[in-house]
Amino acid sequence: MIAALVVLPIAAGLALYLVPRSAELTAKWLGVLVAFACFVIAVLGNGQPDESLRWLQRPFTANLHVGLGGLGYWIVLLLALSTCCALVALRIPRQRDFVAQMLLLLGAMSGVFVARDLLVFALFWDLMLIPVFLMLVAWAPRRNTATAWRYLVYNLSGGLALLLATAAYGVVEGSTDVIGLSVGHGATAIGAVWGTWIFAGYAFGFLVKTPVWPFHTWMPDTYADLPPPAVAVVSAVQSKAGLYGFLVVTAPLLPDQMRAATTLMFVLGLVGLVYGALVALVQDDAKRIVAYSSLSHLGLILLAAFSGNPVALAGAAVYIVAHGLFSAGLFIVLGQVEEREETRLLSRLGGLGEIEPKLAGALHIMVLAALGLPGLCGFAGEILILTGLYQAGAVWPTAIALVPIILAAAYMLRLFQHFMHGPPREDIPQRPDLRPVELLALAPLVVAIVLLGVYPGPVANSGVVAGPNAVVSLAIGARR
Amino acid sequence: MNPYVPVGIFLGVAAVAATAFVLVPGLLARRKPNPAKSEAYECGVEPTSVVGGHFPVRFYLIAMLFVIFDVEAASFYPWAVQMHALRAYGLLEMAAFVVVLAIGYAYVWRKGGFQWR
Amino acid sequence: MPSTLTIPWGNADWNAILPLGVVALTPLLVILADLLLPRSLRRSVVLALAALGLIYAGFLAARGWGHPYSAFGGGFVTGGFTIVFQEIVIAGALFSLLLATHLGRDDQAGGAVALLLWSASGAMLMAGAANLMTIFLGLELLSLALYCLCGLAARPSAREAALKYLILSSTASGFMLYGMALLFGATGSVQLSAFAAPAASPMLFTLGSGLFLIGFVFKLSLAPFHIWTPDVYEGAPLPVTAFMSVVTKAGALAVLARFAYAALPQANAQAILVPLWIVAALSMIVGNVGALAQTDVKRLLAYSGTAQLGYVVAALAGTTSLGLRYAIFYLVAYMFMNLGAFAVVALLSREHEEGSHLSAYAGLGYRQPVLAALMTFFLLALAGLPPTAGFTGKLLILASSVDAGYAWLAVILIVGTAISAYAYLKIVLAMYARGAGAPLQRALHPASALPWLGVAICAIATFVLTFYPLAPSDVLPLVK
Repeated sequence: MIAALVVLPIAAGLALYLVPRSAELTAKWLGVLVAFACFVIAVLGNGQPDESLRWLQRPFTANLHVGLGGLGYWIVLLLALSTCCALVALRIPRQRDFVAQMLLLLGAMSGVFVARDLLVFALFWDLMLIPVFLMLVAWAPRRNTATAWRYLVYNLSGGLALLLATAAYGVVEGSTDVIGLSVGHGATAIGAVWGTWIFAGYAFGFLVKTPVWPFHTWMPDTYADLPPPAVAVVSAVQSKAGLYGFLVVTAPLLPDQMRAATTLMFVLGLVGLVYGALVALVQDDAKRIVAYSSLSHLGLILLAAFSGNPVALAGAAVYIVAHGLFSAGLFIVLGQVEEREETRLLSRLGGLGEIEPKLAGALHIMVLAALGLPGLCGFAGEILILTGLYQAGAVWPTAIALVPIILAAAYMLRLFQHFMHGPPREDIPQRPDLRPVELLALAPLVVAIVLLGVYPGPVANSGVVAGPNAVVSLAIGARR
Repeated sequence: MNPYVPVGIFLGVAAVAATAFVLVPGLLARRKPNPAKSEAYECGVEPTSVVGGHFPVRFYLIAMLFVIFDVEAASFYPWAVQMHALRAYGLLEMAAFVVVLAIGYAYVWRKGGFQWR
Repeated sequence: MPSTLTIPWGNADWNAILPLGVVALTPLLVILADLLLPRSLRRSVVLALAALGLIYAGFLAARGWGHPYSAFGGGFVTGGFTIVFQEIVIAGALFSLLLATHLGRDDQAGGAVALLLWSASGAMLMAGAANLMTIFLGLELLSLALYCLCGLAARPSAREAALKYLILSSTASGFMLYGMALLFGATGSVQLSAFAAPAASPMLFTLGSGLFLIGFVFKLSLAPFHIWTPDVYEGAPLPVTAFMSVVTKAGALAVLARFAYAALPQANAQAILVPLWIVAALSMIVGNVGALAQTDVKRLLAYSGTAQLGYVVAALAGTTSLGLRYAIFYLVAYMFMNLGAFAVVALLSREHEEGSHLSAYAGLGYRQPVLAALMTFFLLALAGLPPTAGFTGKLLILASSVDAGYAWLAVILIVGTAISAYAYLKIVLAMYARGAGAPLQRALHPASALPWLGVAICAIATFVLTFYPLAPSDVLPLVK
């Protein structure tokens, strides 16, 4: 059942190549159907018993072990939902191939979040590179493949470091079937030297993937060059893989190393937080604004992940899902703008609000969620994280973290203002407003944004407080 | 004394001698070149073609085939001398050898390896 | 009164070399068939005969599993280790035959197939060779046939390849013979098993081992003795290149492993072998860096082979039992992914032109989607990305290096892999990028059913081996 979350989309993605190339609509709706099926499977599979097959016995035990619960469950839901929404309003050349790649990406990423074995985790971690690389190659604007290479070089280095760390962990501990096993497992057995190196390998992989300053330089280009439906999913979910890794993989397994790295991570997170917000203020390309805002927001989650405070960790869980929702929404809406106006530069757009009021409304909701308006999901995450950070005694980081949150309002509203307000520009084409199917693509995201904003409880409580270090295990939920 | 010492001495002498033969004439000899001296030595006759030029690859083929049958003959001798001692085993072994060779011979023949083209 | 000689060996000895004998005698039938049959039947009958001979030999070899026997006074050892390598050789030769269905001239087919089988029998002899004489015999049998095969194609680069291979390989044989002489001088025996006792003259023994290893490092085309490989691979006909890339290496690796594991005195074995690990590390870097600049797939696979064999040798580091098993596993995985890639190249080839230039792959993803997807799969496997046997194999090698205390080799392996991804994915990029100008619309060669079979088998094996990493169990009792 849980394995179907991985197997179904991958099998469907491969099978989609059997559909004739011209049957674009069939391909699209098949893709939507599969993504929706994954959503249903995830809802039904939450808290179901784990599924495991034997893989390796030597040199260490590794099992094809998957399970669904805790933070992973919410992220898988987010993944299926954002894929579904991104595909509903899809219009792209070579649509069949694109849908197939999206389904492969869906399967690979589900694998990361249901993995209960470090080796399975590493396998899907590397696997989710490939569809993104292929999409960057095959759908690159201006046939520019440099972005694809940069994406690959960064993420593959991270993935390989993670693989090496996994191998080392397996050799030292004798088993990699440990994700979510028990809080603090392995903390005593791993020596300081090995633990440090293993943590370094994991941390590098996670930091690059998130990305966290200074490993972020692949991200703006990748987000700018990926087609909007793909970037919606990548920014919503793939960027969470690193944070999920810190929260679910390293926090329980290597707590001492986590604690030792706190200062460093706080510095990286804060620099990213401020730097991302400042750069987002001056960008002209709307996708890059959202990309740099991601850098800023994810830095905040990194702070929460390393604070060790239960409230902040609950906030991290909420904000991970929240950021996924509104960044997916933002990129989908920006895609709709670009499809109509053939540009997404702030300097070339204006007054769209009068021509396309529904589009303006959709963008408005996403922007408000992103800047943290109370009642929408962004606020719920931010307030929890800031409260938790303050509780943990990190007063100065909390104070610094407040600045970019104010800046977020500035750059997000600047984007909205340039797009929608002002006199309508003469030099841009007048296009019809959102079609019903495009509204259908956005409606579930809007509902989820509001729901999570007013009732973040289930996500916030997806972890349990346990152990003397108050390390929250978000992997398994409250049931183990 | 280490049994390899003579080998070492031999190597040393060889190296010194070879180096000397190459270097000493260049240092000692008087140079008075004239056209006749500069000519390549070939039985006192003017060279008719470039030395080290091409010559037909057919020669190599013949040489190779010759070597094969030469080796065959060479391996027949010791067997013939010890034929009685090796008895049926030796006979069988040699028969197998000849069969293999015969197939090879047939192959070369049919493929035209003996024709001078 | 003529004395009688007793023949010191009996049926068991002949049984031990029976598989090898079948592979060595089949070519006689092949040659006869080539002579006697009409031209139209020739190629198919010749190929069928050769395949049958190989399959029968594989069956015979498999029968001997678990029955170690030291035949011909210790010159040839059977049992687990030998059989594993013999089966690899047989499988490699079979796949190479699959590629020979439409390449090369009809009237050369018989001779070429016969030489291929003789070469394979040499490799099979090396797999079981346990004294210096049989090692040399096997090596020369392997090499002599290959000198002819390399020059088979009617193009100048083929002659270059043959001559280069002849001269350089003979030089390497010279090194090795010299090493053998010194080893004999140091120990007074040609038996590998006799070397394990402390040598009378350790200096001489170390020198001899070094020269001996240089010879085999050359045959494995490990850096810095790999310079010949790209030129030879490029010039040789495609099936021969495929054959060389697997069978030669399997034979040489068998001897190398036997020498490293069984023929060195315990006291200073590790010290003698240190240069070998350095060579392996160098190969991983040099091979992958060399592959970056290639525009011909055969040359690229030549450099890749250098790196891949570097990985295999790295698995032997520390000469642990697990390491040997993983080296064999990776060799098998390498065989499938490498031969799969070669089979794709064969499918793109025509009568007189090999589809190995990078330009043949431009836009292949749109012309031949299935073939391109499979090529992508093989290239991902070679790059060690999931979900392929290359990923599992690399993980196992990483684990065994870390386990054996050679973590630095693991790190270099990771660095090499990161570099290699660029080289392999360059082809993927060519296949999927929207190329400049209209791609050449070329149909596949009609007579290419068998390479498709090869591609399919390799793809399935590469995938299945990921999750069922079958490594042979009891191969360590090598030398009696």
